[in-house]
Amino acid sequence: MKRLIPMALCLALLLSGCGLSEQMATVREEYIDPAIERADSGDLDQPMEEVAQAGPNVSTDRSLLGEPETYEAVYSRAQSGYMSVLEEGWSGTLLPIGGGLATSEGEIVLDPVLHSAVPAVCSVEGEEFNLQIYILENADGMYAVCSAFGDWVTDFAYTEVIPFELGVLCVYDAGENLAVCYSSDGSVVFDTADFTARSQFASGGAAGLANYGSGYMLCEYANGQKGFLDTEGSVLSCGGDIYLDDAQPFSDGLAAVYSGGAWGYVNSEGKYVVEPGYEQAGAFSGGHAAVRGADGWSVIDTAGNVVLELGAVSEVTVNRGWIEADGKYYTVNDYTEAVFFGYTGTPCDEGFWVQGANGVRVFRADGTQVYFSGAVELLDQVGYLYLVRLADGTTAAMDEYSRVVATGVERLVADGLTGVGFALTDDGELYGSDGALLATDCDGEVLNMSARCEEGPLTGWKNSAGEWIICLINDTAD
Amino acid sequence: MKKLLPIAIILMLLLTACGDFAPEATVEPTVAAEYTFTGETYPQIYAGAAAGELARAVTAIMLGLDREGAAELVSQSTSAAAWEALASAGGGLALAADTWDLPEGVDVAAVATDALVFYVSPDNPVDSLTLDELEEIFTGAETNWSAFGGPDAEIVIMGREPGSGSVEALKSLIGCDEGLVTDVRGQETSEGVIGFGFYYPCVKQGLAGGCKLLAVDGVLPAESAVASEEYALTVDYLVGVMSGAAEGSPERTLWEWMQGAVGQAFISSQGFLSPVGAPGDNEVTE
Repeated sequence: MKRLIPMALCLALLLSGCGLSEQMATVREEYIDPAIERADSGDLDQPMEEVAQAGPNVSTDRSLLGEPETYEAVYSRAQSGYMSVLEEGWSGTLLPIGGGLATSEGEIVLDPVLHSAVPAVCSVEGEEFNLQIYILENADGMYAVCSAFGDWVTDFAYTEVIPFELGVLCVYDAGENLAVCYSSDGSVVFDTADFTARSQFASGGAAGLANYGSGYMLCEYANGQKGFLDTEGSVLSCGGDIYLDDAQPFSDGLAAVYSGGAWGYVNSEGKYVVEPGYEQAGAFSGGHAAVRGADGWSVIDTAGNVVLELGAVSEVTVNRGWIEADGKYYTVNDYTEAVFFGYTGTPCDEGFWVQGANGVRVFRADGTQVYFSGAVELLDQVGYLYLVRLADGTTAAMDEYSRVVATGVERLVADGLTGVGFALTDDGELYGSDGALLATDCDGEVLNMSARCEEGPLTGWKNSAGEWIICLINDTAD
Repeated sequence: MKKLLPIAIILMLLLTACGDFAPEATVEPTVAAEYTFTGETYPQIYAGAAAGELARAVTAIMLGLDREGAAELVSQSTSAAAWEALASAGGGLALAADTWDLPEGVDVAAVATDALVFYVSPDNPVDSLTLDELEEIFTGAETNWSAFGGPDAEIVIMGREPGSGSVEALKSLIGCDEGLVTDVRGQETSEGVIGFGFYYPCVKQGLAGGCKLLAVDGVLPAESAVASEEYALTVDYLVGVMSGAAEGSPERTLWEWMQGAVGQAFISSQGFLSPVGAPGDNEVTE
């Protein structure tokens, strides 16, 4: 045996110098590997003539092939039986999935009984607030509400749910004006069954109670008049009147009230701050309201002072960041036309933006400015993020210091429970306002820092480390 | 012997430096001219989703791509839609499950075998169903698991899209209410759920992840049971080209390659089972 070793060594070295190693590689690739594959699959058990058909000699390249895709569902169940009712007392954030709900630990706590589960978001004086409540709809079109954190839940007892400043207004008998309001902690703020004035409400008028501000809800009576109720059901007397010919909800601490053939404004004590004297009056926003008097339209502040006279225009809109009259925009700072250093401003949430030579500048209603270098257009703003179009036609998300958070951004999205802004790129990557990548393959829904994602047939939620919290397989194609 | 060793090594080193002493290279056997596909010549592939991974793998090695790149060249749909797409385009190549209703004028051949499988929640105590019991479930004749020794829970069928290869297999091999089995729901995790599909995607790719495979007539759909047809519900993956596809055309060449020994070996290497009949037993649909 010892004699054979040097001989074999010599032979191997000889072969290596004569091109046979390449030939061996070819033989291995073309014949041995396929033969092994056939043997592995059991084909060699068949008579050779059955597998002898060689087929055409086709050039192949397997160098980039890699392994086939495989998938794995990630979830657990709180109970083994069917969970058709959501129990209380779960920890973490509840996440809607596959018609049911799961916790942020990936545990399914409600089986697919839901038609939808939507975070409740309300608008208060032009600004959106996240109530951290889910509005749940079942297959029968009935609604329930629950804490986004699983602390409390109601039955599917409601025909309509309206988010507003106090919580969610849940209507359980529209004809009888029966509705109950739940706050974010699940406590009952009021139930119209306790209101003595309910008998006088217009049919279906309970839903209008969501028009709330400064502690009072606007209610409409069966005779067409209106009034204000607090959460105890007590009626507000406005200048001595509890039944008003017309009224608008409170905003910025004031409500427009029509009395004696003219509009004025009352405060939350029912005292007139602006005496009735206008033919038309709008709600306050950002400390301003549009009114029309004998001399046409004007804009007043919360003290009733006229700050801008617009005259014979047909329509006026007042926003937190701007005033618009027949297509012409005015600032809310100095009430001049929105022209900044010769550039006409375009309205946005915060005020106006203008395109300069080298970027976009935002003139905010509070007098501050933000500048986005290299941008040619401001497309959107969510939270602390701004979506801009750059000079080369691409998009980018920037923070207020003009730092690029993400490029190739499709849209900005807001966390449905916290309102925090994120940038969603064309490739489905989700970036936070600090530029950190939250997750990939996202569809743009974010709930308390968990991102809903789709990866092939996998659908579920990823945590801030980009890992699946829970994912289910949705394979129905073939 | 010890004296010979250094001599032999010196001789060997001399020989390696001197190509003239090398033997003549083995003459390669005469083979047909090698066919090379390019992005321009590669035929359009219409794949049923269950055979999609195979279609992507074949495309990848033909063009030297990765699977992701290959996926962009493969049109994927239900099996029935893949066959319809081939017929309607009048060219290209279809790779999809047998739907028992193939378009006319297509040359087809089996290149792999799969099986119709059924899966339930792991919480469901039912482990096996007979063909008759499956028919009762999928025709809607029985709607509660208690009839089969399971819990008192409604049977929830996870439907698949109309034209799916597995729906066609269910219709042909067992019998079903088509409306019931094509009622596509969201992801189901409930105890009463029953799903159906093909072995390769459901088991090997994990698309029935988290569920429990059912035995049929007492036989679990393991690979050996499918290959031996002990598990009765086998279904062929077919490759098809239009009958008018010329010899030597890209689609005909690929069609033949997939049936040939090398193509079959490659298909096996991708985890697909060889067709039960001999490869190359092709036929023309009428």
